[in-house]
Amino acid sequence: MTQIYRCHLELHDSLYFATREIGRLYETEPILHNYALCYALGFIDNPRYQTQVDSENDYRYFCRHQVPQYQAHLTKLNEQNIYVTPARSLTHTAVLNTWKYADNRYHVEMQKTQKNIPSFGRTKEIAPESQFEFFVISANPITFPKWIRLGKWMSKAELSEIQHFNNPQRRENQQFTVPYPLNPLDVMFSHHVIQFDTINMPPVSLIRNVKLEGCCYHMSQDNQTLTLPANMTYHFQP
Amino acid sequence: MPYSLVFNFVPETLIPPDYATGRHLNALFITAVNAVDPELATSLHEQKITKAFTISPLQKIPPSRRDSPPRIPEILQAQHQRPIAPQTPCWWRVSLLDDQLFGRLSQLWLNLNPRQPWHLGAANLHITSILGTPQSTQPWANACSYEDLYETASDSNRRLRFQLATPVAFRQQKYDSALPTPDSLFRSLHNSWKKYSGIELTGFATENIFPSYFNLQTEILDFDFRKKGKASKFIGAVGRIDFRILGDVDSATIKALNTLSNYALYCGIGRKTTMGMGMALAIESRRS
Repeated sequence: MTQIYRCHLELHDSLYFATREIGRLYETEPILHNYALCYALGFIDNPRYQTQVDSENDYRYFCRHQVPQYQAHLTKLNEQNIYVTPARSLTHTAVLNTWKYADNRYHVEMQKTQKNIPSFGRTKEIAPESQFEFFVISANPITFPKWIRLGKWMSKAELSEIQHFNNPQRRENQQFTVPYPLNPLDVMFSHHVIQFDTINMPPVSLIRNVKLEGCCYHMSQDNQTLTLPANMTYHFQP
Repeated sequence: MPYSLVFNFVPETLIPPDYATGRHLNALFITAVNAVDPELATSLHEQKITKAFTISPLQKIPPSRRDSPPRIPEILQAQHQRPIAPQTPCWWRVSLLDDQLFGRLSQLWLNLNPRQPWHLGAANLHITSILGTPQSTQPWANACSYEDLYETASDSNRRLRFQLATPVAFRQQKYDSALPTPDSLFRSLHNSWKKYSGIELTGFATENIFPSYFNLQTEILDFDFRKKGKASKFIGAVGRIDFRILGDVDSATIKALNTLSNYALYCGIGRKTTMGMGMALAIESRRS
């Protein structure tokens, strides 16, 4: 039976990851990628969800190669029918920080440098108290952690599940609009995507205000109707 | 389905004014298309008249306060006298008229993290977003199928208002005319509609259209083609012009003219719409 959870995140630390690097400015867009959320929620390589991966791809604190193994990790979620949508901001503010790093050892042997490369830059981060919203679609019930950590600084964020839809209504061949951000690779193979706005970010650009045609989940509660695409699974570019 | 797509981007280094012209933006678009579909890029490049796309000049997003979003000016900046500073948020519009184009280029919209960045002059462009749905703060982003444009057009509204945002000029025999007459304006729209929509506008006629209000001025654009014997200066009209449909006109004609005025957002009006000229918006009439 399909379960849909509508979740809220509130930041308790400032959140930083580089959506784009413009010269010395490293900018964080107020949108969380669904790949990142899967890791942050602890769905990857976790015996609790039966998503363990082969030992050569296992996910741990220290990774020797530092290369993301999205395909190896997320395919296991497909097998368990767990899907997380990207998160949009409900309210947010940004802060700009300037950073510089220097060698602060007491004794430094002076060596002539080849180039004068200053090591400073600015980061645009999402401020604490900013709020985000996303959905988790799963075949089995899920218990969420209260706190998760996100981004390059492992910033603390409070997770709350605000709505739980048990066995939502499924409709075939509908034309509908989804205001929430979606991962285009995960919907374009199962739906006809007609119109959208693109948000450019690695590793896969996201889309929002999406008009599409295909199967959808229809949920209504407290005079509010929510429509989400059905059959979303992680797809990867060949 | 015609699309009007707004590309928001930030340049990493300074963009010289010479590179902010329609000619370079046109080249940038063709280069981008070439990256995903070389065959399509060649066919777009070789189209001579009524091309299947239009391109806007490069626009800076004006600085704004946090509580009020930036407002897009009614008349856009057709050319720049000064270089555009690094890290200035900018936008640029591309409209696609052919039904198939958007789908064929979907790889381009979704793979915006290319290994080779987009360039204007020496500047690397970082595309932050592409808008393709109606926005409250950006009147130039939209998409609507040809059937919907026709079905939703009014058959009773007799006042057609246009905002000419970049210079509009028309070819008349050997020379160019910058004055938007009802005939030249609606014929330009109708030619594009006939080529790309596949829907016949029965009753299209321009005899009963008369200008009722205009606040126009001329603007000179220099494309700097650097080719001998090729005119590089274009004179066009920018501003507001309203037309009224007068006399005994049947509803099919009124519907055809309303359809065409709504279509102006996508196809532009007159000459050099692939170089940034002829961007026009139909302003909704209060009394329809």
